[in-house]
Amino acid sequence: MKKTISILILFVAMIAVFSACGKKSETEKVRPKVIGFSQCNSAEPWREAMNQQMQNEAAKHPEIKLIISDGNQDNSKQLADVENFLVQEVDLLIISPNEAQPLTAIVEKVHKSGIPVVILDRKIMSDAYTSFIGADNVLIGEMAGKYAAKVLNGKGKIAEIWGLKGSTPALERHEGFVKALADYPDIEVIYEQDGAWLRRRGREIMENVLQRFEKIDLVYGHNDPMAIGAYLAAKNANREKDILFIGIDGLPGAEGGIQAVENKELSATFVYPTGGKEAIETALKILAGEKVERNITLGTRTVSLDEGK
Amino acid sequence: MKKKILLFIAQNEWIKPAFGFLGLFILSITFSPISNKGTLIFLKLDNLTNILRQVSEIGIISVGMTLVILTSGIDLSVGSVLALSATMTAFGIMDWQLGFFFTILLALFTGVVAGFISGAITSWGKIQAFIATLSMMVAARGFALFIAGNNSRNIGFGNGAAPESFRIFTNTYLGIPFPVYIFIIITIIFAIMLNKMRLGRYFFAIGSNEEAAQLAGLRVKWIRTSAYVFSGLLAALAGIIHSAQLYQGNPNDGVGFELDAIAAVVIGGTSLSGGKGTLVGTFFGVLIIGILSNILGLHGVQKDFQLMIKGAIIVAAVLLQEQNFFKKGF
Repeated sequence: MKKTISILILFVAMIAVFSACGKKSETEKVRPKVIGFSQCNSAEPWREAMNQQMQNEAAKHPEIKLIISDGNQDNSKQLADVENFLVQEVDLLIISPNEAQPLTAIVEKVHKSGIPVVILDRKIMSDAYTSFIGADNVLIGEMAGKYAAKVLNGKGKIAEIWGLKGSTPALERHEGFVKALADYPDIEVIYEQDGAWLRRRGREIMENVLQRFEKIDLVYGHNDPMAIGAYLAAKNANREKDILFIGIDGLPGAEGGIQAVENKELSATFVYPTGGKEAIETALKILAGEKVERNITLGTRTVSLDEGK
Repeated sequence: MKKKILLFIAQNEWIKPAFGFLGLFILSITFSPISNKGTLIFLKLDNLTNILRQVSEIGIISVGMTLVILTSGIDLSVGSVLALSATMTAFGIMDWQLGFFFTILLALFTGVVAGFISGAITSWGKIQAFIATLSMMVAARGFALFIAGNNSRNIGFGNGAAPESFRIFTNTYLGIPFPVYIFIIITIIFAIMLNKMRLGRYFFAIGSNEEAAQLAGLRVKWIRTSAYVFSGLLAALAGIIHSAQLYQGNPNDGVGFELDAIAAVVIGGTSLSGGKGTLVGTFFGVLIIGILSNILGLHGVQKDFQLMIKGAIIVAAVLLQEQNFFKKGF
């Protein structure tokens, strides 16, 4: 009997707390607009930086509330995340899809229900969105190629460490690089290998390259971690002074590429912007009823000790 | 009076998970976030059907897992078999142009074969189920990657692509997504089988005392193998649904599904030592897991806390299953 009473008291207390919550929200005059951001995988440094930028930008605007969900690199999980945003009646959806096809249907559904959709970095297979924000990997690859040609004075041997073969960013970073080097017949790419974006693989590949080739002038990594991995391999073999290392991403922070340039491990990195700040800015414009561009291409910049940060 | 209630709880193993479900449901309503219009988001029809759709794959797998665990076995291969079946479905309907019926048949058949191999290795090879299905888990994943050439295969509709009939898996009928119907029908069919049909009773018999079952003249090896075949078949069915939900057959999907299914079965009151458990309990176990990740997701709770809370819930559920816990604890 005592037990029943105590359970009852607990239940009443719960209801009291709950109804108090309800009252509080009624008295708030202006509810903040809710922006839901469905991130495909927060466990990558580049995407973590994206989340951070968005939170920093959103913190400046008290009229909006940003909710970030993590898809754990799993299409089903990200689909459920977006469904949750839909029932929560968010005012705007920002999504960086894990893969295009599995998430196209749900994004179409959100867009059809009248919620504006901003897509970040990776596209979907439909035009049911308000704005797409992404960087141009071909352009970044081209900048890397031009930089390489400049520092090599138009002559030299290059090893290229690919991002995951078959992935669009890797293909485009390669395409731009090759395009820029087309004008320099004395520059030769002597070795290409798939490093799957991983620092560990960058190191392994470079160990093989060092065994096989006596002279390498420059290593081009499709991202900074692989370029840094290659640098570590060269350092182990005491050959890091003869080789230049360049990478892409240029993340801030202790593990990022910008720090690696300052440490003189990389001679340059090319910033692949996350678009986090721009996404929030675009979202604010959409919520204010302003017109926004349908495709927003983000610029890049070179980070090297001679060109400044 | 108190004795009677305790007896009732002891005799009906599904009561505790049902109460657990009810408690969590009320808790979720109490702590539901509120929308701009002042309605409870958790209770919205859309949200409730979302939960059911999201758990339907794990739910179907858990039915097969319950059968296997009842025979005091375990099936670790279900996640990989799901991926294999999803891959088969995508390739069958897109590249091999088998049409709706034969694609489904092929995918289900793949699951049956995988289940049969696991069961046969366990029964006749006398290898522990853990090891046998662990091998199948690795091998089926490998085979799925081989079929898919390490890539995922997208499913599109139209000429030279998937037939319109395949949309049945993604459509909604009477406001409820089709996979939910499959999940519920499968649960009912197998619950009837477990309670009313001979094969079902044999699963219990093997699980509680294999030697006695053998002496009573049961063909233990065949019966046990059939549990694994059902598990494979249901994992394959979940795989077809999975591919239809995502419009894609991905050989890398379904990682960790076996653990979710085992958790649901255990929360549902089925004993890992076999011979004791119910499908109704598993059904509530699946719903408990689904509601938990839904309400945590609605509150934007991140993965770290979600995993910790899930772990705590599983331990709490198992403690509550202990018969003596009630007597000692209260």
